[in-house]
Amino acid sequence: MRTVLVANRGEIAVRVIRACRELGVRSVAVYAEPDRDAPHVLLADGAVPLGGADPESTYLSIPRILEAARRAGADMVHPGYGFLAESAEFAAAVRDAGYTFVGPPPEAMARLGHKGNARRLAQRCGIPVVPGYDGGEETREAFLEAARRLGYPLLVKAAAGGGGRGMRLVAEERDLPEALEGARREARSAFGEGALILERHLGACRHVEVQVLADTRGTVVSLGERECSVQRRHQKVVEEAPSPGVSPDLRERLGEAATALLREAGYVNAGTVEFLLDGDGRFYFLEVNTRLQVEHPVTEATTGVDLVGWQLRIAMGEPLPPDPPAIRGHAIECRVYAEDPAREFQPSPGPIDVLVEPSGPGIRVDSGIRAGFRVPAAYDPLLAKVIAWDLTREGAIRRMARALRDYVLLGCRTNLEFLQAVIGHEAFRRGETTTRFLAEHFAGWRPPLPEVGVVALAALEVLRGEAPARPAGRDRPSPRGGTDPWEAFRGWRMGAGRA
Amino acid sequence: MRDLTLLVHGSPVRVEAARDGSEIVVRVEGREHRVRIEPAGPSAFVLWTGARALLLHVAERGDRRFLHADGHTLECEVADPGRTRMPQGAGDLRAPMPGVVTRVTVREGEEVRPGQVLVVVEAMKMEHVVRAPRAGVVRSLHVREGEQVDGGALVAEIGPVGAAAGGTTP
Repeated sequence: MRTVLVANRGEIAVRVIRACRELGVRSVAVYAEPDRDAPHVLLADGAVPLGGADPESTYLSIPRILEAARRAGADMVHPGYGFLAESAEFAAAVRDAGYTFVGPPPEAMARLGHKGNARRLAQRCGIPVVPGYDGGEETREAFLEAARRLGYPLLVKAAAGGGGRGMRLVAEERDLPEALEGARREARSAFGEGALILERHLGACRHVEVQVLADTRGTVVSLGERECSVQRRHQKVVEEAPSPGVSPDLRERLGEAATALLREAGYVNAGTVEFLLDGDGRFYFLEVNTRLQVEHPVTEATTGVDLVGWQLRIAMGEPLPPDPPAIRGHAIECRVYAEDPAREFQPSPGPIDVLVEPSGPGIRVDSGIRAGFRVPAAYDPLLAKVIAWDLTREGAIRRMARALRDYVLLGCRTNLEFLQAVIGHEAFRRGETTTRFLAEHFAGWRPPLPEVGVVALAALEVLRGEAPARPAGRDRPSPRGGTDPWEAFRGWRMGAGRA
Repeated sequence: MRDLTLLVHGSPVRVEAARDGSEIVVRVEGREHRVRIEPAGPSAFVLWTGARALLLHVAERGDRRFLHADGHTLECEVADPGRTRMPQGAGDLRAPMPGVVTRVTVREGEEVRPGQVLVVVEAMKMEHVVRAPRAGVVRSLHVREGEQVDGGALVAEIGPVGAAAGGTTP
């Protein structure tokens, strides 16, 4: 029997473990100390401690992960997303240690993971790129001169990077030197390499990405696009498939560009090619994510393809069906974060005292938490994802709104109210989403104060005022015969010690 | 009627509430609501408003209460009228979020400038800096480097220059 070491945590580790179980493959989880009772640890067929708590010595440590693979008796390693998922060095180390890496070959990762290289490769394939500078000469003068040619505003990006780290928006020339310094520092600490590129900032665009699967026999298929324009600080919040801004003809051209690029790069397994789409229907290549994406479930919902299952099957040598799947209906994903949208999206780790996840027709929840788990401060604030599918975009929005209403998560602050406001916004309903959507419509957003909630809080206060004073045997309005009416309050107070 | 000030999402909301037999009467902004409320298992209550039964989920962390009702999540603190609330004024500096104290850059008794960095808290790869809101003296420090702090925990107190450290605030 084959064994997969799941080298990640949270909801994506849970997702991979579920796929393994469905394929009849053994899964072994890894965990840092704060995660010792996390759902992914409890769900896997085995679990190996990584020791310590900080990401660098645990989920980001190549030697520790390889040691865990040895102890687990694994023959495959799935990296999830984030952490080491886009490290060509990690993929090579896994292969050299004799395990199968569930992802692309390290050579293809290195080729595409470097933004400058990827831009040049795209141009060779005839794919338009955002006007920019990846010229290799890294002096301040070279950047200043290139920036004058490109014009402001522009983006400074880490050549080795992704996920918004090592990225700076520069409005005018006098801010460039400081932005270069800052981006270089961040890039070095995040990716171990300080190389930078410049790109013209295109303003209000749609962020569209094409999901591709490639097997070891040379079959490369596009599974359609996702739109991920609703972002805060370059982090995605809401994603959907298909994009409301992509016509069937454009979809075909995007798919052709994405598959041509990955074929040229010798790519295998699941990958995503990102594009910017301007108001005139022109698209520009942005970057390749050489891994599974957080938002992969919207593609799974519209194509019926189990992407994580196929990642494993491709890694085990299985060929893809020759024809790409048909796209059916519309899917939306909302990311539930432990953060405070009213305070600049500050992370808000903490305990989860009450958790009721939504369900019902067309609703899927990918979750990495459970009631009683304490969300660690050391890692990413993503808690779970809600995915809604229906035949139409309008229907998917209605299902999402209903599901978010039903989602109960108490004990730490979350963005659940914020997500409801985003999904309910007129501009979102009209599909008018660009990368400026949140900045334009939600600056200074505050959560609502519903009257029924205020009434409930006041009524609970009255009830609480009565609870401790209750002398034994005294007749009180007892709403329910046989049960102790104060039991619920004691339950409520259980967690009171640990704020 | 009991006067209550609820700090809902940090905004003060004044309400009046009292029991009336099996019901509870709540007045919010001039409107009167008559409700019944019943415990419904651990962390749950049922709120009856007219013919509608609404399931409430509740959780409590220190002074903070969380409520889920009718599709909304509310976070609330109750200002207790029986106890004079310490003015959570400029002098009390609290951790903006739970995390690890990575730096403490001042000592007790030290004079500080407005905006001066006092303590740095890190959580989920984000740094948050606690700064002096005005000029003054660090009267007390409640955290050490490497220490885990809860969101809202007191990290330092700033007093006026010249006041003795550890003295009482009016």
